[in-house]
Amino acid sequence: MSQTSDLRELRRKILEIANLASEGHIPSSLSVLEIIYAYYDCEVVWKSETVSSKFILSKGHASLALFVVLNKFGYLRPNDLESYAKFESILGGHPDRLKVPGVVASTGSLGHGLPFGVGLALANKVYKKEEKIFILVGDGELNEGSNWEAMLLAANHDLRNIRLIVDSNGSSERALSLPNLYEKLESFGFKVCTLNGHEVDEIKVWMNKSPDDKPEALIAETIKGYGFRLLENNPAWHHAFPNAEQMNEIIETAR
Amino acid sequence: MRKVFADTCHNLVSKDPKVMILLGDIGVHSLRQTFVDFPDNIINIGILEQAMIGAAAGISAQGLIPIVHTIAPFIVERALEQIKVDLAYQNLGANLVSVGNSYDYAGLGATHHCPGDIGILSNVPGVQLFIPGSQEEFRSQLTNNYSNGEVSYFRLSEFSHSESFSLSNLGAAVLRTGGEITVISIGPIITETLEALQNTSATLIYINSLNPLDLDLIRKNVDEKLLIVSNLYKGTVTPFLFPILENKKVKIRELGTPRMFLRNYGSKNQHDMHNELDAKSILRAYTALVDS
Repeated sequence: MSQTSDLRELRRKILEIANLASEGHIPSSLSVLEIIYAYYDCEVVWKSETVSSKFILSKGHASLALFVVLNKFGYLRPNDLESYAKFESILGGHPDRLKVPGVVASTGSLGHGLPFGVGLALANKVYKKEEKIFILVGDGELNEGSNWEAMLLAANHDLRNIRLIVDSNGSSERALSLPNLYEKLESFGFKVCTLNGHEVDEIKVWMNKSPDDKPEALIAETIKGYGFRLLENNPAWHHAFPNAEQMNEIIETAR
Repeated sequence: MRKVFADTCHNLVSKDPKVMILLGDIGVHSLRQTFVDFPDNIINIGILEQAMIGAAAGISAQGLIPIVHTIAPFIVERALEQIKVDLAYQNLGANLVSVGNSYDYAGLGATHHCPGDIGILSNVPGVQLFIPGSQEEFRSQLTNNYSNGEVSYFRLSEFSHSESFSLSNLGAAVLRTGGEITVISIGPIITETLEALQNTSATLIYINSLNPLDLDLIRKNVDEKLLIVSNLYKGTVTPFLFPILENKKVKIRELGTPRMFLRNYGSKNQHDMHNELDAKSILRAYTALVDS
Protein backbone atom coordinates (compact mmCIF):
# COMPACT_ATOMS: atom_id res chain seq x y z
CA MET A 1 0.00 0.00 0.00
CA SER A 2 1.35 3.43 -0.85
CA GLN A 3 2.18 6.03 1.74
CA THR A 4 -0.63 8.24 0.47
CA SER A 5 -3.26 5.56 0.82
CA ASP A 6 -1.77 4.52 4.18
CA LEU A 7 -2.29 8.05 5.47
CA ARG A 8 -5.81 8.28 4.03
CA GLU A 9 -6.68 5.08 5.85
CA LEU A 10 -5.14 6.30 9.11
CA ARG A 11 -7.04 9.60 8.92
CA ARG A 12 -10.29 7.74 8.45
CA LYS A 13 -9.35 5.44 11.33
CA ILE A 14 -8.88 8.45 13.61
CA LEU A 15 -12.39 9.60 12.74
CA GLU A 16 -13.91 6.17 13.25
CA ILE A 17 -12.28 5.56 16.63
CA ALA A 18 -13.20 8.99 17.96
CA ASN A 19 -16.75 8.46 16.73
CA LEU A 20 -16.94 5.03 18.38
CA ALA A 21 -15.62 6.30 21.73
CA SER A 22 -16.98 9.85 21.66
CA GLU A 23 -13.55 10.86 22.88
CA GLY A 24 -10.34 12.31 21.51
CA HIS A 25 -9.09 15.43 19.78
CA ILE A 26 -9.60 14.80 16.08
CA PRO A 27 -8.24 18.00 14.47
CA SER A 28 -5.14 18.05 16.71
CA SER A 29 -4.46 14.44 15.76
CA LEU A 30 -4.88 15.14 12.06
CA SER A 31 -2.47 18.03 12.42
CA VAL A 32 0.43 15.76 13.45
CA LEU A 33 -0.38 12.44 11.78
CA GLU A 34 2.23 12.77 9.02
CA ILE A 35 4.94 13.79 11.50
CA ILE A 36 4.32 10.76 13.69
CA TYR A 37 4.05 8.50 10.66
CA ALA A 38 7.38 9.84 9.38
CA TYR A 39 9.07 9.07 12.70
CA TYR A 40 7.89 5.47 12.93
CA ASP A 41 8.63 4.88 9.23
CA CYS A 42 12.21 6.03 9.94
CA GLU A 43 12.36 3.99 13.12
CA VAL A 44 11.79 0.73 11.23
CA VAL A 45 14.96 1.37 9.25
CA TRP A 46 16.93 2.72 12.22
CA LYS A 47 16.14 -0.37 14.24
CA SER A 48 17.51 -2.57 11.46
CA GLU A 49 20.66 -0.43 11.49
CA THR A 50 20.79 -0.41 15.33
CA VAL A 51 20.39 3.35 15.38
CA SER A 52 18.81 4.27 18.71
CA SER A 53 15.96 6.77 18.88
CA LYS A 54 13.02 7.83 21.02
CA PHE A 55 9.85 9.79 20.32
CA ILE A 56 7.76 11.81 22.78
CA LEU A 57 4.34 13.15 21.92
CA SER A 58 4.32 16.10 24.28
CA LYS A 59 0.95 17.33 23.01
CA GLY A 60 -0.59 14.13 24.32
CA HIS A 61 -4.13 15.10 23.33
CA ALA A 62 -3.15 14.10 19.78
CA SER A 63 -2.95 10.52 21.04
CA LEU A 64 -5.34 9.23 18.37
CA ALA A 65 -2.70 9.96 15.74
CA LEU A 66 -0.03 8.22 17.81
CA PHE A 67 -2.20 5.18 18.40
CA VAL A 68 -3.22 4.62 14.77
CA VAL A 69 0.44 4.88 13.78
CA LEU A 70 1.59 2.56 16.59
CA ASN A 71 -1.06 0.13 15.39
CA LYS A 72 0.13 0.45 11.80
CA PHE A 73 3.71 -0.30 12.83
CA GLY A 74 2.83 -3.31 14.92
CA TYR A 75 3.05 -1.99 18.48
CA LEU A 76 -0.58 -2.67 19.40
CA ARG A 77 -2.75 -5.78 19.60
CA PRO A 78 -5.57 -6.27 17.07
CA ASN A 79 -8.43 -5.01 19.24
CA ASP A 80 -6.64 -2.25 21.11
CA LEU A 81 -7.75 0.57 18.81
CA GLU A 82 -11.41 -0.41 19.04
CA SER A 83 -11.17 -0.30 22.83
CA TYR A 84 -9.97 3.33 22.78
CA ALA A 85 -11.07 5.29 25.86
CA LYS A 86 -13.09 2.40 27.27
CA PHE A 87 -12.73 1.80 31.03
CA GLU A 88 -10.11 -0.93 30.86
CA SER A 89 -8.43 0.06 27.61
CA ILE A 90 -4.70 0.66 27.43
CA LEU A 91 -5.47 3.60 25.14
CA GLY A 92 -6.96 6.85 26.39
CA GLY A 93 -7.20 10.50 25.57
CA HIS A 94 -3.53 10.91 26.45
CA PRO A 95 -0.77 8.28 26.16
CA ASP A 96 0.37 6.38 29.25
CA ARG A 97 3.88 4.93 29.14
CA LEU A 98 2.95 2.28 31.71
CA LYS A 99 0.23 0.90 29.42
CA VAL A 100 1.06 1.56 25.79
CA PRO A 101 3.96 -0.26 24.13
CA GLY A 102 6.30 2.17 22.43
CA VAL A 103 5.34 5.18 24.53
CA VAL A 104 8.38 6.69 26.27
CA ALA A 105 6.69 9.43 28.32
CA SER A 106 3.17 9.80 29.63
CA THR A 107 1.83 13.18 28.65
CA GLY A 108 -1.34 15.19 29.00
CA SER A 109 -0.50 18.38 30.85
CA LEU A 110 1.38 20.54 28.40
CA GLY A 111 5.02 21.57 28.65
CA HIS A 112 6.31 18.29 30.05
CA GLY A 113 7.69 16.41 27.04
CA LEU A 114 10.67 18.61 26.24
CA PRO A 115 12.14 18.72 29.78
CA PHE A 116 11.66 14.95 29.95
CA GLY A 117 13.46 14.55 26.61
CA VAL A 118 16.28 16.76 27.84
CA GLY A 119 16.63 14.39 30.80
CA LEU A 120 16.88 11.42 28.43
CA ALA A 121 19.64 13.21 26.54
CA LEU A 122 21.49 14.25 29.71
CA ALA A 123 21.51 10.61 30.83
CA ASN A 124 22.85 9.61 27.42
CA LYS A 125 25.81 11.92 27.98
CA VAL A 126 26.65 9.90 31.09
CA TYR A 127 26.31 6.66 29.11
CA LYS A 128 28.18 8.26 26.18
CA LYS A 129 25.36 6.96 24.02
CA GLU A 130 24.19 8.39 20.72
CA GLU A 131 20.38 8.41 20.56
CA LYS A 132 18.12 10.68 18.54
CA ILE A 133 15.39 12.08 20.74
CA PHE A 134 12.37 13.59 19.01
CA ILE A 135 9.88 15.67 20.98
CA LEU A 136 6.71 16.86 19.29
CA VAL A 137 5.12 19.93 20.89
CA GLY A 138 2.24 22.14 19.84
CA ASP A 139 2.73 25.80 19.07
CA GLY A 140 0.13 26.65 21.70
CA GLU A 141 2.03 24.43 24.11
CA LEU A 142 5.05 26.69 23.70
CA ASN A 143 3.21 29.18 25.93
CA GLU A 144 4.44 26.99 28.79
CA GLY A 145 7.66 28.35 30.26
CA SER A 146 9.00 24.88 31.06
CA ASN A 147 9.68 24.43 27.33
CA TRP A 148 11.91 27.46 27.25
CA GLU A 149 13.69 26.34 30.41
CA ALA A 150 14.36 23.02 28.72
CA MET A 151 15.62 24.75 25.58
CA LEU A 152 18.13 26.68 27.68
CA LEU A 153 19.33 23.38 29.13
CA ALA A 154 19.52 21.65 25.75
CA ALA A 155 21.69 24.42 24.33
CA ASN A 156 23.83 24.84 27.44
CA HIS A 157 24.62 21.13 27.62
CA ASP A 158 25.17 20.72 23.86
CA LEU A 159 22.38 18.17 23.55
CA ARG A 160 22.80 17.84 19.81
CA ASN A 161 20.59 14.76 19.65
CA ILE A 162 17.55 16.72 20.79
CA ARG A 163 15.17 17.18 17.86
CA LEU A 164 12.31 19.45 18.77
CA ILE A 165 9.35 19.46 16.39
CA VAL A 166 6.82 22.27 16.68
CA ASP A 167 3.39 21.49 15.28
CA SER A 168 2.77 24.97 13.96
CA ASN A 169 -0.96 24.76 13.26
CA GLY A 170 -1.85 28.25 14.41
CA SER A 171 -3.23 27.24 17.82
CA SER A 172 -1.08 29.85 19.50
CA GLU A 173 -2.87 32.56 17.54
CA ARG A 174 -6.04 32.00 19.58
CA ALA A 175 -4.51 33.50 22.70
CA LEU A 176 -0.84 34.24 22.98
CA SER A 177 0.80 34.49 19.59
CA LEU A 178 4.37 33.42 18.92
CA PRO A 179 5.72 35.86 16.35
CA ASN A 180 9.15 35.18 14.89
CA LEU A 181 9.23 31.63 16.22
CA TYR A 182 12.15 30.77 13.94
CA GLU A 183 14.23 33.56 15.43
CA LYS A 184 13.10 32.74 18.96
CA LEU A 185 14.20 29.12 18.65
CA GLU A 186 17.43 30.14 16.98
CA SER A 187 18.23 32.62 19.73
CA PHE A 188 17.70 29.84 22.28
CA GLY A 189 20.55 27.93 20.64
CA PHE A 190 18.73 25.67 18.19
CA LYS A 191 19.43 25.07 14.54
CA VAL A 192 16.02 25.69 13.01
CA CYS A 193 14.33 24.43 9.86
CA THR A 194 10.82 25.05 8.52
CA LEU A 195 8.94 22.45 6.50
CA ASN A 196 5.44 21.51 5.40
CA GLY A 197 4.39 19.25 8.26
CA HIS A 198 2.20 17.15 6.01
CA GLU A 199 5.01 16.14 3.64
CA VAL A 200 6.23 12.84 5.06
CA ASP A 201 9.23 12.47 2.78
CA GLU A 202 10.59 15.92 3.60
CA ILE A 203 10.18 15.30 7.31
CA LYS A 204 11.97 11.98 6.97
CA VAL A 205 14.92 13.66 5.30
CA TRP A 206 15.15 16.05 8.26
CA MET A 207 14.81 13.19 10.74
CA ASN A 208 17.49 11.15 8.99
CA LYS A 209 20.19 13.74 8.80
CA SER A 210 23.19 13.45 11.07
CA PRO A 211 23.23 15.53 14.23
CA ASP A 212 24.50 19.08 13.95
CA ASP A 213 26.70 20.55 16.65
CA LYS A 214 23.65 21.93 18.45
CA PRO A 215 20.07 20.86 19.21
CA GLU A 216 17.72 21.16 16.29
CA ALA A 217 14.16 22.36 15.88
CA LEU A 218 11.73 21.78 13.06
CA ILE A 219 8.86 24.19 12.63
CA ALA A 220 6.33 21.94 10.93
CA GLU A 221 3.76 24.10 9.20
CA THR A 222 0.50 22.22 9.56
CA ILE A 223 -3.24 22.59 9.26
CA LYS A 224 -5.37 21.63 12.21
CA GLY A 225 -7.83 18.99 10.98
CA TYR A 226 -5.72 18.30 7.88
CA GLY A 227 -7.13 15.76 5.44
CA PHE A 228 -10.85 16.59 5.70
CA ARG A 229 -11.69 20.04 4.41
CA LEU A 230 -14.75 20.26 6.65
CA LEU A 231 -12.55 19.97 9.73
CA GLU A 232 -9.61 22.08 8.63
CA ASN A 233 -9.08 25.13 10.81
CA ASN A 234 -12.58 24.69 12.20
CA PRO A 235 -12.43 25.24 15.99
CA ALA A 236 -15.89 23.72 16.50
CA TRP A 237 -14.34 20.26 16.14
CA HIS A 238 -11.48 20.67 18.67
CA HIS A 239 -12.99 18.18 21.14
CA ALA A 240 -16.20 17.15 19.36
CA PHE A 241 -17.31 13.88 17.80
CA PRO A 242 -19.20 13.36 14.59
CA ASN A 243 -22.42 11.35 14.46
CA ALA A 244 -23.01 8.92 11.56
CA GLU A 245 -24.44 11.58 9.29
CA GLN A 246 -21.62 14.02 10.04
CA MET A 247 -19.07 11.25 9.50
CA ASN A 248 -20.29 10.85 5.95
CA GLU A 249 -20.20 14.59 5.37
CA ILE A 250 -16.66 14.79 6.70
CA ILE A 251 -15.42 11.83 4.72
CA GLU A 252 -16.83 13.35 1.53
CA THR A 253 -14.46 16.28 2.05
CA ALA A 254 -11.36 14.07 2.23
CA ARG A 255 -8.29 15.31 0.41
CA MET B 1 22.51 18.91 57.43
CA ARG B 2 23.97 20.43 54.25
CA LYS B 3 27.41 19.05 55.05
CA VAL B 4 26.10 15.54 55.50
CA PHE B 5 24.08 15.90 52.29
CA ALA B 6 27.27 16.70 50.41
CA ASP B 7 29.23 13.90 52.08
CA THR B 8 26.48 11.33 51.49
CA CYS B 9 26.08 12.30 47.84
CA HIS B 10 29.82 12.07 47.27
CA ASN B 11 29.87 8.68 48.92
CA LEU B 12 26.91 7.38 46.89
CA VAL B 13 28.35 8.57 43.58
CA SER B 14 31.69 7.01 44.39
CA LYS B 15 30.01 3.64 44.89
CA ASP B 16 27.23 3.84 42.33
CA PRO B 17 27.92 5.42 38.92
CA LYS B 18 24.18 5.50 38.23
CA VAL B 19 23.69 8.34 40.71
CA MET B 20 23.15 11.72 39.06
CA ILE B 21 22.97 14.84 41.20
CA LEU B 22 21.04 17.87 39.96
CA LEU B 23 21.46 21.10 41.90
CA GLY B 24 19.15 24.06 41.53
CA ASP B 25 22.10 26.41 42.03
CA ILE B 26 22.04 25.50 45.74
CA GLY B 27 24.70 23.48 47.57
CA VAL B 28 27.21 23.95 44.77
CA HIS B 29 30.05 24.97 47.06
CA SER B 30 29.38 22.11 49.49
CA LEU B 31 29.57 19.63 46.63
CA ARG B 32 32.64 21.15 44.95
CA GLN B 33 34.70 17.99 45.45
CA THR B 34 32.04 15.89 43.72
CA PHE B 35 32.25 18.23 40.72
CA VAL B 36 35.98 17.52 40.61
CA ASP B 37 35.87 13.77 41.22
CA PHE B 38 32.71 12.84 39.28
CA PRO B 39 32.01 15.57 36.73
CA ASP B 40 29.67 13.36 34.68
CA ASN B 41 27.43 12.65 37.65
CA ILE B 42 26.64 16.12 38.92
CA ILE B 43 25.14 19.18 37.23
CA ASN B 44 24.36 22.60 38.57
CA ILE B 45 21.22 22.83 36.47
CA GLY B 46 20.40 26.44 37.25
CA ILE B 47 17.33 28.17 38.57
CA LEU B 48 14.61 26.38 36.58
CA GLU B 49 12.88 23.95 38.87
CA GLN B 50 10.14 22.77 36.50
CA ALA B 51 12.62 21.67 33.85
CA MET B 52 14.91 20.28 36.54
CA ILE B 53 12.25 17.87 37.78
CA GLY B 54 11.16 17.05 34.23
CA ALA B 55 14.75 16.32 33.30
CA ALA B 56 15.13 14.20 36.44
CA ALA B 57 12.25 12.08 35.17
CA GLY B 58 13.96 11.60 31.81
CA ILE B 59 17.20 10.74 33.55
CA SER B 60 15.35 8.20 35.69
CA ALA B 61 13.64 6.72 32.61
CA GLN B 62 17.10 5.99 31.21
CA GLY B 63 18.02 3.97 34.29
CA LEU B 64 20.02 6.53 36.24
CA ILE B 65 19.13 7.62 39.79
CA PRO B 66 18.54 11.34 40.20
CA ILE B 67 19.13 13.23 43.43
CA VAL B 68 17.60 16.69 43.06
CA HIS B 69 18.38 19.46 45.50
CA THR B 70 17.19 22.97 46.16
CA ILE B 71 15.21 25.01 48.70
CA ALA B 72 11.91 23.41 49.76
CA PRO B 73 9.29 25.74 48.21
CA PHE B 74 11.11 25.78 44.89
CA ILE B 75 10.96 22.00 44.56
CA VAL B 76 7.61 21.29 46.13
CA GLU B 77 5.48 24.28 45.29
CA ARG B 78 6.92 25.52 42.01
CA ALA B 79 7.48 22.11 40.43
CA LEU B 80 4.55 20.24 41.98
CA GLU B 81 2.96 19.23 38.67
CA GLN B 82 6.29 17.90 37.46
CA ILE B 83 6.62 15.81 40.64
CA LYS B 84 3.11 14.50 40.10
CA VAL B 85 3.09 13.95 36.33
CA ASP B 86 6.72 13.38 35.36
CA LEU B 87 7.81 11.32 38.36
CA ALA B 88 5.02 9.81 40.45
CA TYR B 89 2.43 9.18 37.71
CA GLN B 90 5.04 7.55 35.52
CA ASN B 91 6.53 5.37 38.29
CA LEU B 92 9.92 7.00 37.84
CA GLY B 93 12.06 7.01 40.96
CA ALA B 94 13.90 10.10 42.14
CA ASN B 95 15.25 11.59 45.34
CA LEU B 96 14.14 15.12 46.13
CA VAL B 97 16.23 16.66 48.89
CA SER B 98 15.12 20.04 50.15
CA VAL B 99 16.61 22.51 52.59
CA GLY B 100 14.90 25.21 54.57
CA ASN B 101 12.39 23.13 56.50
CA SER B 102 9.37 25.16 57.65
CA TYR B 103 11.09 28.48 58.32
CA ASP B 104 14.81 27.94 58.74
CA TYR B 105 15.27 30.92 56.41
CA ALA B 106 13.30 33.10 58.81
CA GLY B 107 15.15 36.26 57.87
CA LEU B 108 14.40 35.82 54.17
CA GLY B 109 10.66 35.91 54.60
CA ALA B 110 7.67 33.79 53.61
CA THR B 111 8.72 33.09 50.01
CA HIS B 112 11.40 30.81 51.47
CA HIS B 113 9.17 29.14 54.09
CA CYS B 114 7.62 25.76 53.46
CA PRO B 115 5.50 24.39 56.33
CA GLY B 116 3.18 22.98 53.64
CA ASP B 117 5.59 20.68 51.82
CA ILE B 118 4.61 17.42 53.49
CA GLY B 119 0.89 18.16 53.31
CA ILE B 120 1.17 19.04 49.63
CA LEU B 121 3.23 15.99 48.72
CA SER B 122 0.93 13.71 50.71
CA ASN B 123 -1.58 14.41 47.93
CA VAL B 124 0.73 12.93 45.32
CA PRO B 125 0.18 9.17 45.52
CA GLY B 126 3.18 7.11 46.51
CA VAL B 127 5.68 9.79 47.45
CA GLN B 128 7.87 8.75 50.38
CA LEU B 129 8.10 11.46 53.04
CA PHE B 130 11.22 11.55 55.19
CA ILE B 131 11.78 14.14 57.92
CA PRO B 132 15.22 13.35 59.32
CA GLY B 133 15.93 14.83 62.72
CA SER B 134 19.68 14.46 62.64
CA GLN B 135 22.56 14.23 60.22
CA GLU B 136 23.00 10.54 60.88
CA GLU B 137 19.31 9.86 60.32
CA PHE B 138 19.46 11.60 56.94
CA ARG B 139 22.62 9.75 55.94
CA SER B 140 20.93 6.47 56.77
CA GLN B 141 17.63 7.34 55.08
CA LEU B 142 19.19 8.48 51.82
CA THR B 143 21.69 5.64 51.68
CA ASN B 144 19.02 3.02 52.35
CA ASN B 145 16.39 4.43 50.01
CA TYR B 146 18.08 6.28 47.14
CA SER B 147 17.80 3.40 44.68
CA ASN B 148 14.45 1.93 45.72
CA GLY B 149 12.65 3.18 42.60
CA GLU B 150 10.30 5.43 44.56
CA VAL B 151 9.85 9.18 44.55
CA SER B 152 11.39 10.04 47.91
CA TYR B 153 11.26 13.47 49.54
CA PHE B 154 13.82 14.31 52.22
CA ARG B 155 13.04 17.39 54.29
CA LEU B 156 16.34 18.69 55.61
CA SER B 157 16.82 21.34 58.25
CA GLU B 158 19.66 23.53 59.38
CA PHE B 159 18.77 22.32 62.87
CA SER B 160 19.18 18.79 64.14
CA HIS B 161 19.17 16.81 67.36
CA SER B 162 22.25 15.08 68.68
CA GLU B 163 20.56 11.95 70.06
CA SER B 164 20.98 8.42 68.78
CA PHE B 165 17.57 6.76 68.74
CA SER B 166 16.97 3.09 68.11
CA LEU B 167 14.54 3.44 65.23
CA SER B 168 12.30 0.78 63.69
CA ASN B 169 12.65 -0.01 59.99
CA LEU B 170 9.79 2.40 59.38
CA GLY B 171 11.49 5.28 61.20
CA ALA B 172 9.86 5.29 64.61
CA ALA B 173 11.02 4.80 68.18
CA VAL B 174 9.34 4.72 71.57
CA LEU B 175 11.69 6.87 73.61
CA ARG B 176 9.88 6.18 76.83
CA THR B 177 6.57 4.87 78.12
CA GLY B 178 4.62 6.50 80.85
CA GLY B 179 1.25 7.99 81.69
CA GLU B 180 -2.04 8.39 79.90
CA ILE B 181 -0.76 10.90 77.35
CA THR B 182 1.25 9.93 74.31
CA VAL B 183 3.33 12.52 72.53
CA ILE B 184 4.45 12.00 68.93
CA SER B 185 7.28 14.30 67.90
CA ILE B 186 8.42 14.52 64.29
CA GLY B 187 11.88 15.35 63.02
CA PRO B 188 14.21 18.01 64.46
CA ILE B 189 11.60 19.44 66.85
CA ILE B 190 12.30 16.43 69.06
CA THR B 191 14.98 18.66 70.67
CA GLU B 192 12.35 21.07 71.98
CA THR B 193 9.97 18.20 72.76
CA LEU B 194 12.54 16.39 74.93
CA GLU B 195 13.29 19.59 76.80
CA ALA B 196 9.60 20.26 77.34
CA LEU B 197 8.72 16.81 78.62
CA GLN B 198 11.77 16.05 80.77
CA ASN B 199 9.85 16.24 84.04
CA THR B 200 6.61 14.64 82.81
CA SER B 201 5.42 11.06 82.58
CA ALA B 202 4.43 11.22 78.93
CA THR B 203 4.86 8.28 76.61
CA LEU B 204 7.08 9.69 73.91
CA ILE B 205 7.27 8.48 70.32
CA TYR B 206 9.75 9.91 67.85
CA ILE B 207 9.23 9.48 64.10
CA ASN B 208 11.29 10.68 61.14
CA SER B 209 9.15 9.28 58.34
CA LEU B 210 5.48 9.87 57.51
CA ASN B 211 5.45 7.56 54.49
CA PRO B 212 6.30 4.87 55.32
CA LEU B 213 4.78 5.30 58.76
CA ASP B 214 5.08 2.82 61.60
CA LEU B 215 1.38 2.70 62.43
CA ASP B 216 1.71 -0.53 64.41
CA LEU B 217 4.19 1.04 66.80
CA ILE B 218 1.96 4.09 67.21
CA ARG B 219 -1.21 2.00 67.64
CA LYS B 220 0.38 0.03 70.46
CA ASN B 221 1.41 3.19 72.32
CA VAL B 222 -1.55 5.51 71.97
CA ASP B 223 -4.27 5.42 74.57
CA GLU B 224 -6.81 8.17 75.34
CA LYS B 225 -4.88 11.37 74.75
CA LEU B 226 -2.43 12.22 72.02
CA LEU B 227 -0.28 15.29 71.51
CA ILE B 228 1.39 15.64 68.10
CA VAL B 229 4.36 17.97 67.82
CA SER B 230 5.76 19.07 64.47
CA ASN B 231 6.52 22.35 62.75
CA LEU B 232 4.48 21.41 59.68
CA TYR B 233 1.24 23.27 59.13
CA LYS B 234 -1.05 22.53 62.06
CA GLY B 235 -3.31 19.62 61.13
CA THR B 236 -0.92 18.03 58.65
CA VAL B 237 -0.02 14.97 60.69
CA THR B 238 -3.35 13.82 62.16
CA PRO B 239 -4.74 12.52 58.82
CA PHE B 240 -1.74 10.18 58.54
CA LEU B 241 -3.04 8.51 61.74
CA PHE B 242 -6.63 7.99 60.54
CA PRO B 243 -6.08 4.26 59.83
CA ILE B 244 -5.45 3.61 63.54
CA LEU B 245 -7.98 6.10 64.89
CA GLU B 246 -11.06 4.44 63.42
CA ASN B 247 -13.11 2.82 66.18
CA LYS B 248 -10.89 4.40 68.82
CA LYS B 249 -11.69 7.31 71.10
CA VAL B 250 -8.60 9.50 71.33
CA LYS B 251 -8.45 13.14 72.32
CA ILE B 252 -5.94 14.72 69.93
CA ARG B 253 -4.14 18.01 70.02
CA GLU B 254 -1.78 18.77 67.15
CA LEU B 255 0.80 21.53 67.44
CA GLY B 256 2.22 23.03 64.30
CA THR B 257 2.83 26.15 62.29
CA PRO B 258 -0.34 28.26 62.01
CA ARG B 259 -1.87 28.35 58.53
CA MET B 260 -1.01 31.93 57.77
CA PHE B 261 1.90 33.70 56.10
CA LEU B 262 4.65 34.33 58.64
CA ARG B 263 5.38 37.95 57.87
CA ASN B 264 8.03 38.45 60.56
CA TYR B 265 11.75 37.94 60.01
CA GLY B 266 14.26 37.31 62.82
CA SER B 267 15.36 33.77 63.63
CA LYS B 268 13.91 30.29 63.50
CA ASN B 269 13.83 30.23 67.31
CA GLN B 270 11.84 33.47 67.41
CA HIS B 271 9.32 31.97 65.03
CA ASP B 272 9.17 28.84 67.20
CA MET B 273 8.19 31.00 70.16
CA HIS B 274 5.74 33.02 68.09
CA ASN B 275 4.15 29.82 66.77
CA GLU B 276 4.12 28.24 70.26
CA LEU B 277 6.51 25.51 69.18
CA ASP B 278 9.30 26.23 71.69
CA ALA B 279 9.84 23.94 74.70
CA LYS B 280 7.80 26.10 77.09
CA SER B 281 4.84 26.20 74.73
CA ILE B 282 5.01 22.45 74.11
CA LEU B 283 4.96 21.83 77.88
CA ARG B 284 2.02 24.23 78.24
CA ALA B 285 0.08 22.33 75.56
CA TYR B 286 0.94 19.03 77.21
CA THR B 287 -0.22 20.25 80.63
CA ALA B 288 -3.45 21.57 79.16
CA LEU B 289 -4.12 18.17 77.60
CA VAL B 290 -3.38 16.44 80.92
CA ASP B 291 -5.88 18.72 82.65
CA SER B 292 -8.55 18.39 79.99
